[in-house]
Amino acid sequence: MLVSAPFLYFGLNMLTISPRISRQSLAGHGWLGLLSGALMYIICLSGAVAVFYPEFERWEQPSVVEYSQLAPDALQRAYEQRLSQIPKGESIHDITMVLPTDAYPRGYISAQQQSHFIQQDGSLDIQKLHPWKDFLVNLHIELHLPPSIGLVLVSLFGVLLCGLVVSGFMAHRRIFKDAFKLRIRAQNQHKQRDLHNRLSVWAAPFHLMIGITGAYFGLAMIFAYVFSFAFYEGDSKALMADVFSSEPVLSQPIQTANVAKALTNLASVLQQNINKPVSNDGNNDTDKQLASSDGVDLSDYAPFYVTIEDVGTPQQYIIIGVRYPDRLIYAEQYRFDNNGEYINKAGFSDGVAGRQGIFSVYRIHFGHFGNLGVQIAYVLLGIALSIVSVTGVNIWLEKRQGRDFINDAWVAIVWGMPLALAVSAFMQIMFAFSAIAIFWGVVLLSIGWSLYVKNESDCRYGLTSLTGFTLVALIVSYYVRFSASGITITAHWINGAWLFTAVAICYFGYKNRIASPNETAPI
Amino acid sequence: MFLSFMAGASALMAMLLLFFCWQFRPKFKSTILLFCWLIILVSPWLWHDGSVELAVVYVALTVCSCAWLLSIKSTLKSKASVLKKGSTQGAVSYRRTTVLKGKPIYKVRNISKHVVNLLLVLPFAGVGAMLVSMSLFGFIGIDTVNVMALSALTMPLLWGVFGFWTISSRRKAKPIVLLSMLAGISALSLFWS
Repeated sequence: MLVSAPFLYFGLNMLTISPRISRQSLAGHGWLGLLSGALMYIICLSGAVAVFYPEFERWEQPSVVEYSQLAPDALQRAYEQRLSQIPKGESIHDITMVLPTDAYPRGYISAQQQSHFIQQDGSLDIQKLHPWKDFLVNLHIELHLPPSIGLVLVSLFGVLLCGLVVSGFMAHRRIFKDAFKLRIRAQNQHKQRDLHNRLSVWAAPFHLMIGITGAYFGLAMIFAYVFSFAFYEGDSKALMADVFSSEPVLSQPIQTANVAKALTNLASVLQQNINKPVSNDGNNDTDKQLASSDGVDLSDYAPFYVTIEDVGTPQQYIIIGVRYPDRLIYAEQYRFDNNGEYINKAGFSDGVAGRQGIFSVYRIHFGHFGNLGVQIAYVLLGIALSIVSVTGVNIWLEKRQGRDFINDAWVAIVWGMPLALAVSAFMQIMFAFSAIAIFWGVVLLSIGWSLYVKNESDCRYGLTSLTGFTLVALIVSYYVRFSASGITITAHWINGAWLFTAVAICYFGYKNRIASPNETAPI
Repeated sequence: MFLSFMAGASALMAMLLLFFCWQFRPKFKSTILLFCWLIILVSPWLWHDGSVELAVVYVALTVCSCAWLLSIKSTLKSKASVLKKGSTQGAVSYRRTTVLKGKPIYKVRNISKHVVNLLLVLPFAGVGAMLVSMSLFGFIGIDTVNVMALSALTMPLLWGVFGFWTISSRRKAKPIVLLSMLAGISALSLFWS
């Protein structure tokens, strides 16, 4: 909004973009979009679905008992039990315990790349496994490539998205004249152009935000490397201490961390700390002496994870992550020593503005703030960005004097992707087949089939019908597999969403088939 | 709560006014437009019950969803385009179903040329964007952490803009020389001491 306002107004009245610059911008925008279109579409669509990844975790393991409160003693028992399972002499950097919340009413403990659910009495439950959700998130953030390559590649698409947003504005000379123009029932060329422009112009602030935050995730390590040379004479540890607050320097007798006491102490620590800013270096060791700020309602300040750092060493300490209401920061970290005595806080909530900004990137990218409405808005905006990617390529295809194999391949990518997601979920849930292999196999098969059929309309109709059928099969098989062990209400909602998607996709495919049997564009 | 409601209502009102301007083109269109955008920009600060950061996001979401709903409203009013006598749109439809044989208006060579172009431009623009953003915020004289955070969050935008500028320029020498100079000056200011 802050960005589109001046663009829209000045673009109209003050700074008229010359036709030459507009033409050049359009050419640059076109090539950037065309070269990034397919992968951008895959990243955007998978990202839109991945907004609900915590719900998918619950959907994949519906039989896990859910609760919203976990007593500190129970958490201590879970920690000690997990600790006892680690072979002696084996070094372990950290153990993390996620506490149940209203949004995610399950507790689990993670160590050495393995997670187990915690029962309400503190005993360890089954292993936490959600391969399809992992597949989906990896598709979005790494495109199933090795992390070092995939993460950077996807971040580059964030950069390209920023470039596309700016070049799109530069290329669009009739931005106000067409501000609300949407000719869905017009000729295909107009339809594609209007869809592309309306969805992109009005959602530009969101698209920019997604591009910038998305780019940040993959480039953070590169930033850290360059910044350390520019500002810290190559000392990356000093940089990390400045940005993420320095670790407490401790030397204690080695013993099991008293997590229960730290959690019990948290309430009084919160009373002391809320609305009390830390010093710029984040080390407010004087916090212990702070006067109590009585009258602050702390019910919304929920602890949601506990991490024990440097396990089994004299430097061992406890971090409790607390979610702040009405803030975009991921969490404020409160640190406690081995005995559960308060040390300090990191200052993500009230430290330097830059630190707060960096720690807000995650939640603003995934839409994990606010209520369910915000998450649904994020899904719709993500789908809108996917449509913008598709219609951009469609406009290029329409401008050509005819059609060839690119049209066939493109329609298969566009409609093969939802099908591949549906088939991968079905095969993973029913037969525990590798979702990655299934997904890319289905995408390749769709392209091959489309190239063989050489009819975009038939291909689109076939792929949409298959997607609808697969989603219904997924729902049926899900209930067959899990009904005996009990299904939570969230799983019913997810299945309802799948059913809605199946009906919507089938209706869309059928309607397009009836309305324009010779129409060639993928959307 | 009341402030939040008022801010939401004001953003909605501004959007409706924008739509009115677009549809009916009133006499003081420019003034009304400016007024509408000011209202939208101010709304997050009125919507300040919780935090400004969330208010900005919520107003952006409100504006976006309102605009889309108004666009859908406008599409319901518009008639489906009909082919007029002598229109060239029929020919366009014909072309779409015509198989490209021998004479494509694009060449595969063109695509590969642009792919190579993009691969060469991106790292160059990236280095330029990183150096420029770091030195730009370094000059302001704010805290180092703030400089790094602002650089990290603006660098992708600058990278995209520099990349697009270099790709879309017909005479590539101009952006390359200018970006090299900017990057050089920035690097000197950062690493001189």
